[in-house]
Amino acid sequence: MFSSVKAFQKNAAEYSRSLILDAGESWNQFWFTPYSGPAIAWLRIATGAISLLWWLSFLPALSLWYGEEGVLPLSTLETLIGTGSRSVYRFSWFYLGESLLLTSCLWILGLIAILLHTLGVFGRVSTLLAWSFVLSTVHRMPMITGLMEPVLTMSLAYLAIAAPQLNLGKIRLCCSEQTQPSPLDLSLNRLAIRLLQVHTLFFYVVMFSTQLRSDTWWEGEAIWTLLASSETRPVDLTGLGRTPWVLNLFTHAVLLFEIVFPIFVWNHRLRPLLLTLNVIFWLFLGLTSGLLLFCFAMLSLSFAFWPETSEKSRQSTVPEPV
Amino acid sequence: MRSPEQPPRCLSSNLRSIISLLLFMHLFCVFFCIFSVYPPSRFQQRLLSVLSPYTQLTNLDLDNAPYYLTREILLEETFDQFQEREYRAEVLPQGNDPSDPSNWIQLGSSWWGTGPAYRRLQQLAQLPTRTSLEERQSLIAMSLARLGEQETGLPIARLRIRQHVPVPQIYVEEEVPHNSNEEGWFKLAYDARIVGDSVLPIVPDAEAAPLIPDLKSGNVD
Repeated sequence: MFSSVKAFQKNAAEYSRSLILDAGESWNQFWFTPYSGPAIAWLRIATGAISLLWWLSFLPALSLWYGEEGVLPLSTLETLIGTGSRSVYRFSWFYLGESLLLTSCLWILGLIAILLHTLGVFGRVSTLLAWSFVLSTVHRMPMITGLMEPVLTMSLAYLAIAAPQLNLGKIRLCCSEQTQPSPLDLSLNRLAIRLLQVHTLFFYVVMFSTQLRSDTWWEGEAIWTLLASSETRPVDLTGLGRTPWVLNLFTHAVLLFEIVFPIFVWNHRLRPLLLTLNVIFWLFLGLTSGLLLFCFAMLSLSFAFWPETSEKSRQSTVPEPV
Repeated sequence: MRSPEQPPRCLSSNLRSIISLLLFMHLFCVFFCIFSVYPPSRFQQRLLSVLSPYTQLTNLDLDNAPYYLTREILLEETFDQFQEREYRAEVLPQGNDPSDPSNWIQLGSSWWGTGPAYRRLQQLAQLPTRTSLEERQSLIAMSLARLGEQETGLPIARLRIRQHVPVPQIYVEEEVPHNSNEEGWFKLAYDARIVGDSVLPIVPDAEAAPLIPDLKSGNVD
């Protein structure tokens, strides 16, 4: 009796120990396995292009958005975000002043930073600068930002962790002569990719879970409401209203995809299929909701799930740590 | 010696531990902020305020962002309760008759409706309808009136914000003739007179408090 209790204790201790070791090993493998694939470069170009479009949307009248006579002067902003009555942790280059000269200079600096980030020039520095300018604009007008801005700031922040690289797979850029990335950079690349993947999936889950809370998604009416919002829709697809079952089907398909994607995208066999469906999904949502930039931003994050090169070829490119 | 299955290690054990700790804390913040789009509990609110120096600064907090895209049922019977989607800010230049719909000028009407700039304007127009604080309503109303002045080149006498309610699907299914730009598809959400630098909200008659006390009951409210 005594010996069987002792044996049980020993087995339990061994099991716990192996469980903890396995969990630690899996954690390290998930977050820190070196990565040298082309996804980082593609992500940088895609987020750069979307940031650029978003940045250009403040033209032609910069003073309208940043100026003292604009729609949201700093004095109004202070009242709206409650500065003085509660702690507000926001930083913006645009808090420095509201004159047209200053805001135009800052806007041009932001434009240059985003362009450099897109081209991969000055590596992490340009990405950090681009991030700080995008963040500055978000904090300058937090109450009129939408669904897109959290996606954009998140992408830029994580890309600032990754090593700047011009590896676009089989495509070679004219300026793609570069040195071999260090082992540390390769691990940080993996960290950036994983953070992008996990954070992206959080957005799918939050969309799915908040939609489940409303009757319109349960009853299959939601897509119609989006289509019938005539002020902001890019194309008129209200003709679909003649066949209600199609609208119901689309609504339920959106919900289904939002939960299927985060679960099954980790399966390597299903990943290409899901990424293809992801393109259709975001194009469809973009056309129905009119949230084109948000949908393109989410679609661009598909690059984070881009299938890697084979394990063998990847390991062969990894230099041994010094 | 490393086993063949294990990936090559490029980071020292200490560095990995430090990064893992930071990573864990960051993911906790992300998880917490993402799921604060639901109405948060008191515990959540307190924790959010503790995390806010990091989450606010890095724009992780979603602040009730409408990731559900749409949430209200579109029925003729519940038309009055429909509370979301599209808002239109309109100004009336001085000397014009407010009862004539053609005298009202829509702000941003020449902008691209799907573009981010028009969306920002719509969000701004939503703010007075979402807050009950008159000071905030007036500040935004004044900003919109100023934009109206810039767009029209005329002094503005009145500002109104109307919500556009989408046409129910049954209209299309049963081929009922309709025009989504008709007055009937708009609900008045905010209305104010602009007098110099002051904004004087116009309260609908039904909501206005009686000026003379009700003599029978003695109630002034």
